[in-house]
Amino acid sequence: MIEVVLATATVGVLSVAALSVAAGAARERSSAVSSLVAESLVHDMVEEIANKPVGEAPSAPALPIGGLFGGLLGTSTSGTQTGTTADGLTAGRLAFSTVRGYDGWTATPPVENDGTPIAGAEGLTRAVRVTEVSITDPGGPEASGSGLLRVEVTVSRGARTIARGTILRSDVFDELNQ
Amino acid sequence: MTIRRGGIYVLVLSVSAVTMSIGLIGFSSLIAQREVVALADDSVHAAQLAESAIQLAVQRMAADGRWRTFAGGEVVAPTPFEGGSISATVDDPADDDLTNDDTQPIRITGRGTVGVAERVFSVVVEPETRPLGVLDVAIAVRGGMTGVDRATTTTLVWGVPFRGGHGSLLPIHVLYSSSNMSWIEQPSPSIVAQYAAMGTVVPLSASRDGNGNNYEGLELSPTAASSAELSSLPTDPNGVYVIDAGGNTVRIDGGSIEGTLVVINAAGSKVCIVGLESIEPNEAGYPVILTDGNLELEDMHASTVKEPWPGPEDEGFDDPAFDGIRGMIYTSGDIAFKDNVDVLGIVIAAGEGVVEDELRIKHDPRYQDDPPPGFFAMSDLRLRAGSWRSSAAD
Repeated sequence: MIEVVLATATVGVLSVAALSVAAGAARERSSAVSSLVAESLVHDMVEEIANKPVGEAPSAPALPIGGLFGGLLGTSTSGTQTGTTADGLTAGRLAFSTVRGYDGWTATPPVENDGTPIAGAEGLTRAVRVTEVSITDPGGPEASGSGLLRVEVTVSRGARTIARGTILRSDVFDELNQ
Repeated sequence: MTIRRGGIYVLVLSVSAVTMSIGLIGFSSLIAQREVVALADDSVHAAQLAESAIQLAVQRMAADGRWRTFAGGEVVAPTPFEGGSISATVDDPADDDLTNDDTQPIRITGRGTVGVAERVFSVVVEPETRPLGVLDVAIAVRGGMTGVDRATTTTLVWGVPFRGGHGSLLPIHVLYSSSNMSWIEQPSPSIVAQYAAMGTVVPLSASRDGNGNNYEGLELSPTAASSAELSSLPTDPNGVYVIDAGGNTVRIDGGSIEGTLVVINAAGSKVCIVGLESIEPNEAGYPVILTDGNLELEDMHASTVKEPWPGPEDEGFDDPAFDGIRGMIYTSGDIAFKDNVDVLGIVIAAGEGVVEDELRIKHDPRYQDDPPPGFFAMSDLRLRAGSWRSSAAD
């Protein structure tokens, strides 16, 4: 009789442990998938921006779309997209002709460059920040006039950043590549 | 059948142990998989940093013209950046010397490191070149020319403008008239030494007079070299021969040259070339005469060229049998034309020029199309198409 009791107890403990492991694995899988999606979103955006020319520095402060034109142009049917430069007003990111044009771009959920929502990215936000930085301190604060841009792409869920990617883009490199 | 007491306990424990082991293996596998994914992410980020390192490198090179002299070509020292590290170097893939020739391509190598992942990218940048402006014209004399007077001499230039220097307006007969007398690019005077370094030295002639060395019947080509005084001379495969004047006058009287004659250490002295039967460049299209002395050309009239004055007859220059001076002439000193000289090519002098008798020149555009070494200028650097490489980290 004692053997039956002990065996039952052991099986019970192991069952709980197994279920716990299974739940952890499921969470891990979900997290891994989410992380992969986020990394992919970052990578795609980085590649897209890396292939654009740096562009001229704006001569006047950029106009926030979400302010004056937000109601008309800043909202898509699938979520919210905002940008800060004039060349993004017409057709989402398709109209961004330069790296600088991406500064301030956010999309929830992330979308393709023509505005099509990306499947599997629901609940995520993809954002771009472009900062002109010093050639001696590219990871540092803004330094206008250097011609070197730091492009930071983040994908987040709520307030939590899931993935991020950063590249540098040089206007001299564009001249070499002409 | 008898079941031994405790048997079920052993059975349950065994099954449980196996199950637990399987579970642990599965969990370990999950962790390993996550590490692989993380490593792949690090590799992607390292690649982004490596490309960023190249971007930063070119920006720094544009800002600091001393980059060719940086120790080890290190344009970007290892620098923490975005959770990893970036660095970049520049090198000369042709001869590993960044300082010896600005016209050689350079390679920029960027490295990005994130955790244990490291990625390396490289790209080749090459200077674009263009012909020097001086190759646009038949004759360019920086210090201006004298003796170009219809009353006493006949100077004819065909095909392209004549360029004097410093605004000297000359009564020169120019067909396809000159539109601009402003100065144009000449090669660096160091070009004489540059060509001398390529050539084979002709020993000093045994024939000397009070002024210097005389060479009679000098025959120079890529396959043979001789003179009346020096019957056996070493040959130069490119036909580039060098005479070291040692500060004295050099006189070459008669003979023929297929290649390039370079006379060095003649600054302030005369280099007289008289009555050569023919002179033409080698296959590489190098100049035919370069010197740092004061060059005098005499009696090299082409038998094919008709007496053109006053008509615009220049057909004799296109005759395959043209036996005047065929090629480009450069001196960093003065130049004098004496007694009937016909040139199919380009004449460049950094000093002054004088025409004492008939001079006829027809521009040869082939030097424009394919400038010889030293006769082109660098314009912008350009990425070489298809030169991006991803290489394994050391």
